[in-house]
Amino acid sequence: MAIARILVSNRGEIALRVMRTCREMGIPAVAVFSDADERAAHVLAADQAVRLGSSDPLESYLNADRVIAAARETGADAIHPGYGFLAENAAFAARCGEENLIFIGPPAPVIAALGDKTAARRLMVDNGVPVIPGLLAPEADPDRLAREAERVGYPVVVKAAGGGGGKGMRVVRGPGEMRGACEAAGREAMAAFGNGAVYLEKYLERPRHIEFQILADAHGRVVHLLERECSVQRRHQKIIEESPSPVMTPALRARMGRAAVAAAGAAGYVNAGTVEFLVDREGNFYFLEVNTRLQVEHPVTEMITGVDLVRLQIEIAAGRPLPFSQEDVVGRGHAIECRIYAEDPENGFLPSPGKILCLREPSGPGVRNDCGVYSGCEVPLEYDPILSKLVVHAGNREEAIARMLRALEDYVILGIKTPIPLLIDVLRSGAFRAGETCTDFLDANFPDWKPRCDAPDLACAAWVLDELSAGQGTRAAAPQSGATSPWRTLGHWRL
Amino acid sequence: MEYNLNILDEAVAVKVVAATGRELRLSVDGRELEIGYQRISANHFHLVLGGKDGRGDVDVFVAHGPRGKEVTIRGVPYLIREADADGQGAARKTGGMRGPRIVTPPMPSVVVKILVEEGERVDKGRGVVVVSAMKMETTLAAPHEGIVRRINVAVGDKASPGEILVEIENDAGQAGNP
Repeated sequence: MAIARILVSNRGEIALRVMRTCREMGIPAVAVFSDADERAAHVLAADQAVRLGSSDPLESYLNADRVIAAARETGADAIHPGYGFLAENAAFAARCGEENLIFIGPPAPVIAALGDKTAARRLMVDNGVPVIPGLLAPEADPDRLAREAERVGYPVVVKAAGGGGGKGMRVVRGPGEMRGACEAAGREAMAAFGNGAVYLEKYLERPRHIEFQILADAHGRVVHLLERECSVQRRHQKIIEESPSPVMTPALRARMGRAAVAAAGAAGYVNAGTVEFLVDREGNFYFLEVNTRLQVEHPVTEMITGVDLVRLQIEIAAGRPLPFSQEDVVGRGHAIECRIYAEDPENGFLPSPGKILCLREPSGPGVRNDCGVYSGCEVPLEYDPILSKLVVHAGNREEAIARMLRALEDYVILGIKTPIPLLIDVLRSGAFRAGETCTDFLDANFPDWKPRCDAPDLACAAWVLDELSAGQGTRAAAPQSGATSPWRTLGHWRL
Repeated sequence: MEYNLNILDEAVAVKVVAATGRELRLSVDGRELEIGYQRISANHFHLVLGGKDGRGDVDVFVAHGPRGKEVTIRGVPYLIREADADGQGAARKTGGMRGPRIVTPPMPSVVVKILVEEGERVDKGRGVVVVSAMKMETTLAAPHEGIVRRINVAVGDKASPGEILVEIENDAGQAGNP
């Protein structure tokens, strides 16, 4: 069963990322968009684009009826959901099946079983995978949640039962915070996943977040593609990911890899997924959740293993067997990803939507920037704030850090705030260089962070130069007489 | 030419000593700065420092934002404004670090919940409105105790920083800025 045309039911950088592989595979890609995204980069990159509705996600990217209708209208025979929106919506995956559309992701029952975070915890307990103490079923009553919190001991974390990724999640440090946390987590969970149910786990202090990429085909083969360390986070969302993890040993990798493959096997997994673990100081690991989708940070794995995960997702969805086995998976070098969000790192990471006045992407050896915006585009306030994923690959961790610093310094985004200056300081810091990353890394190492503005005189010079050239077109400042025309300055062509 | 600039919330006196098409001599708070430059595009200047003070040549980028000129140098952003006519420098902090004195969102957002009613008495710090931007919810708190005088927004409305969403009258009978 070959796939002839793929509708990408997402927006921004991930929609572009999927479409690039579609193009490389010779498969036409269909974009969908909301009113806020009429001129978005993913719309411009597609072979065809269909308007879904207004900017409200429920009227557009979360609206299954309209996405299915767009597939029908354009003759798409498969849907790639990206991450977020409908990516982990089992009802949507099932609906695709009923409509004879291939859902590029796991089977609907697997999404349902693992997307229900408490059911997934029960499945792991039954299969001998260690889990964090807490509830094994959703609970809506704040008083009962408070009783469970007393049992496992504060602090606890109230989490969305219907999805992960840090959405709909609140740390509760005492009984007084429980009611507000439940309400906020429930509302966020409803907005993010269309399901407001929550549950509770013991909150582990200062763990590392280490996850394993898995791939499973429809013929029973499951492999893992090594780990990603994603410990540097803000508001429970990752901002820096890398592979290999600075604390990984071959023995721990083998144990965690086996647990990840066992978890996927127990669930009957097919397609790409991620098994997330928390790892404590003693090297104990606990199952956190399975993300039944392509992760934001998948390029880290692509860089060190040399595979195209989207291509493999499409091939698996088309029924083809995995073209390699576990023994073939070898990591080479070190990869780091920085997430470039529209947000203000100086001000509690508050969202910073608005117009991008100037954008210049970094490039050069070992640099990949999966970017969903361009100079002059509006970053809407209705959606996730991710602008791009900046990824580097180098021979070892030290070289990868140097390469990432070079790329961050070359990255120009004017008009909205981004964490670029914070990321630069993090990568320069002794703690990061020493690999001392844990989930409270930013709070512990960069409280009240301010950018290191060491060239205010040059900034003033730039202000003056801009002022002096006000009203000039770009041509006016170019050297006179056309002396730079390549036809005059170049010598003979060498072919 | 002289400019009173505000950079990093500090006033800086900048004097243009000489400017040609390729060179610029400035005095920044009395310190001389002599650089070569090229204008590459409307947003892009190349500064030629030639190793002076241990600093190499550098690309700088400038754009006109709503709150002043935004400059970025090697990944570090600067916001630069001309100081107000009174020379004070418009050192207005946005955002909630110091605690806002009015009920206003720190970023453009959508109102998702209103937690109070007109006429209700609130204590300082009590949540009054929940706003959401880019899927993140923020609860805006009462900046002081008092009576809720007016609610200016409804659920689903878009709101911008500076817009007063809920007016709270304090005991001295004043709404807004106490």
